Formats: sequence, C-alpha cells, structure tokens
Amino acid sequence: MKKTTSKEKLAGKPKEPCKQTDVQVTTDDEASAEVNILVPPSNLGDLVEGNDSLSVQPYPSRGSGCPTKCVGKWLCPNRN
Amino acid sequence: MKPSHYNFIFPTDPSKKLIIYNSLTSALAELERPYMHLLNTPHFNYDALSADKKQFIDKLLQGGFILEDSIDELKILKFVHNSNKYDNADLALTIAPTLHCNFNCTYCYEQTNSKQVSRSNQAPYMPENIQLDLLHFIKQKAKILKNLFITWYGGEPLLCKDLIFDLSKKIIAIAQEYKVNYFANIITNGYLLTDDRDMLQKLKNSKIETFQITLDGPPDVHNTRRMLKNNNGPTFDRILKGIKLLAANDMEVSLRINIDKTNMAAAVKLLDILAASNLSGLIIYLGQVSADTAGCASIKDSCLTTKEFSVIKQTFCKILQQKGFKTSTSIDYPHIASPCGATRMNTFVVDPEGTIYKCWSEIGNRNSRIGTISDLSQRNEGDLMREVRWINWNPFDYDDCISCKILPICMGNCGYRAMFINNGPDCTEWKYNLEHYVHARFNYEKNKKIHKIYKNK
Repeated sequence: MKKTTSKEKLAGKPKEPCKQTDVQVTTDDEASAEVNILVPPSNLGDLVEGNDSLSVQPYPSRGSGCPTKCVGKWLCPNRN
Repeated sequence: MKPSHYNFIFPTDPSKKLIIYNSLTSALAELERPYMHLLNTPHFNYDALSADKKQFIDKLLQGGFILEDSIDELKILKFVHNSNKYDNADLALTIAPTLHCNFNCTYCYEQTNSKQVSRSNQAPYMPENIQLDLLHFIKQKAKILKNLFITWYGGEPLLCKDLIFDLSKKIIAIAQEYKVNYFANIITNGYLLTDDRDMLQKLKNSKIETFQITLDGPPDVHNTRRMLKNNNGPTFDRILKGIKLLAANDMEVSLRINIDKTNMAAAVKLLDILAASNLSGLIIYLGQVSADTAGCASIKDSCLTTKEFSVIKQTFCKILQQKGFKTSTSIDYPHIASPCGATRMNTFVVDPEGTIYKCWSEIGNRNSRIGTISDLSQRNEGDLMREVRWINWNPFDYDDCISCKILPICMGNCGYRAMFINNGPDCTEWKYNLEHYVHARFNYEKNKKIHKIYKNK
C-alpha cells in the first residue's frame, strides 16, 4: 500500500486511483483559509440601477427554463 | 457587527467544512468550523476579536454574510424590489393575436367556460384597428423605453402567423426608431411549424429568439393530454418534427414538460426519444400543472403539490445530466427574484380585441380586464382599481414573508395565486429544495476550480 502524504491526509482520500483527487489534494491552496468565496455577492446597487439581470427580466414566471436570464425560480401554470 | 438574517449554512460531504449561502446577495462560500459561533451571535464587537477571527469576519463581510449593525437588510430588499417594480424603462407585452387554438389540452387554464367568455364570440384574429391601437400604444411608450419584450401568445399564435410577421416588422421598426432593445419569444404548441423556407425566414426576420414548446411524454402519453381540438387526433410526431426543424435552423427551443401525478415517469421516457433525435442541446424543463382557473379546475386532483414537484424536479435534473442533456447551474442557482411580472408596472397582456389584463391566467376573462389598448388613460374606475390592486400587491404585507429567510429568492412567488387562489403567498420550490441546488452549485464551483488547476498544470 502506498504511503499517503500529509496533504492527502487532510483531504481524507488516498492518492490512487483517481487522478482528479490527486490534483485537488496537491494544489488546494485554500487548505489553510477559513473562508473560500465560491460565488461572489451580487451588487445590489447594480440591480437597482438596471445593470444586472433583475431588470431585464420582467416576467419571472416564464419558468426555470426561461432563456432570457430568469433570475428567480418560478414556474408558470399550464402555458400551452 | 451581526450575521445576516439571510444566511443558510449546510454541511459539506464528506469534508468537515461548511457551505454558507446568502439569499440576499446570492454569495456562496466554503468555510471551516472553528469560528462558526460568530455566525450565531446576534451582535459582536469586531475590535475585540483576535487577528484570526478578524480575518475570518473580513471574508464573511465580503459576501454579505456578516453586516455592520447599521444595515437593515429588509429595507435594502424593499428598495431593490420597488426599484425594479416601478422601473418604466422596460415594457413587457404579451400579445395574443388570437385566442383560438387547434389543440384541446386536458389542463388548459384559459377561460372557455360559457359563464366566462366564449372564445367563439371573439374576433378570430386581432382586427386591423386593434393592431393600429397596439402600435400606437407601443410608440407612445417607446419614447422613454430602454427594453421592449414581446411574447407572442394565444390560443395558438401560429394560427395567425402572417399577422405576427407583419406586427413584428412594425414593432421592430418602432424599436429601431427610438433606439429601444427588442426581445421576442413565442409560446406555441409547435404543430404548425412546417418545413416551409418562407415561414422560417419570416420567423427569423421577426427576431423571435426562443420558441417555448411543450411535449408531455412519449407519444402514448402526450397524445392523451395534448390532442387536436376537432377529432382528438395525435400531435406528438408533428411537434417533434417542428422542434427538429427549428433546431436544424439554429432557432432556440425551450422544451417544457408539464407534469402532474399521471405522467411523471413519462417525462424521463421522453428524454430517450429526444436523445435519439439528436436534440440533447435543447433547454428542457418541467412545468408544474396547477388548477388555477375555472378553465382547468377539473384536473385539481391530479396536480402535484409544490413540495412533491420539487422532489421530482431534483431527480429529473440529475437524470438530464446523466443522459447528457444541456443543464445550466446558473438557471438552477437561487438569485434575488424580480417581482411577479403581473405586479410590475409596464407589463400587460393584450387579447385579440385589445382588452388588457395584468396576468396570463386572466386572459379571456373580461371581468379581470384593466382597460383596453385604445384608451388606457381614460378607463373606468373599476379597470383602474384592478390594476392598482395588482401593482400594490407585494410580499412585504405578510408577516410570514417578512420573517422568511427565502424571501429574497421568492418574493411571494406568483401574484395570481397569492391574490386569487391561496389568499396569501404560495411559497416557491426553494422552500423545499434550496439545499439541493446550493450543493449542486458548490460542487460545480469546486470541480471548476480543480479542472482549472489541472489544466494549468
């Protein structure tokens, strides 16, 4: 059995066989950071000023599949 | 300082870290546990914190997870909501050039009851004088507009496709004259889309960006729900042909599958047919059938609750992904919600006679009108007050909504249901499946990062 490195121990996963895990373990530079922001916050000021998607979608009820940047999670009733 | 009212904290699996999501800012972060107690402390003194804790808090401040004491999030939310609601730089018109339809769907919500308005009493197609009134209305509004959104609706709008082509040409000309951004889509059953070069070109000229078309399962299921009007004849094969035609001509199709208790499994079977037809690139989504109007009250027992629907949708999204269909994490990630279109200024639904409504669910029911396209400024008090009632509806009038942590991504959901069905807001799916979709986005972002690192190596 292969010896696991300290970084592998941190991730709790053996080095083999998954190459992707290997990459995650050996390159995760956030290991010591307490907070890692993955999706930045919306600029609420932009929403008000019409610079974000909220303002260009007057019909949120077109459904989650709405192609025109539906910003909500809305489902309209039995449209056609 | 204080934690945001809109924080959601979920465990990660299998890591010991946590996910934090904020429904007001949509920010998402991964964090470690040691200083978590600060997120459960109503108020704390930043200056008294250790350097490590300050570093932790500084990051959380960036995401809006921690706030200065002076910040009133509810007031910010009201401000954003109302700014959008009363913004008159956008005009959204849903135009039904006809209420006639070649289909007889079992769950159609449009008013066909003789006690309401019989569609056969209406002009089959929008007459020329109403078209002129409509163009005049748009021209008047265009002077101060930034964006113009047109949705072609019905009945079945392609029953009068030449009218749509002609009106589109004229509306686009107005938009160009006043330098207004023009966006159009169509909600059609797809049956009349044929391999006609001239028609396809005119659809493109009409700048119709997206076609919302519905299939409710494989032929044996779909054809019992969405059949032809006169003879209950099948429609599946012809619709599928129409969808292929659009896809082959680079026209975007948003494929809706309306589900209830009777066709849940059929939705999955449909995916195999679509995959075999090389249609994996379509935008596909489930619609929740609901019995909102007198027109579809008879199907009430077969409808799914929002909670049931949310569970099915989660599974369906996973299957979509497994089968290689296009999925979008941005669509299914909760962002701050705009107001229900019907409760917003400058959104109107227009029927073939020029009667204006606020909501699609009301079309054809003249008791719900808010005026006519020719004299909106000179309407009677009844019409005026119906619009006033719509515009004034907002979730901030309900204590449950004000205290609710999902309010920013729900905003009271559908105004029609709140006012006429539920006697109060009808919570969105997020109430039941938020964790699932936040986890999905978390995994997506983490994998993206890993792939980026891998690529750079």
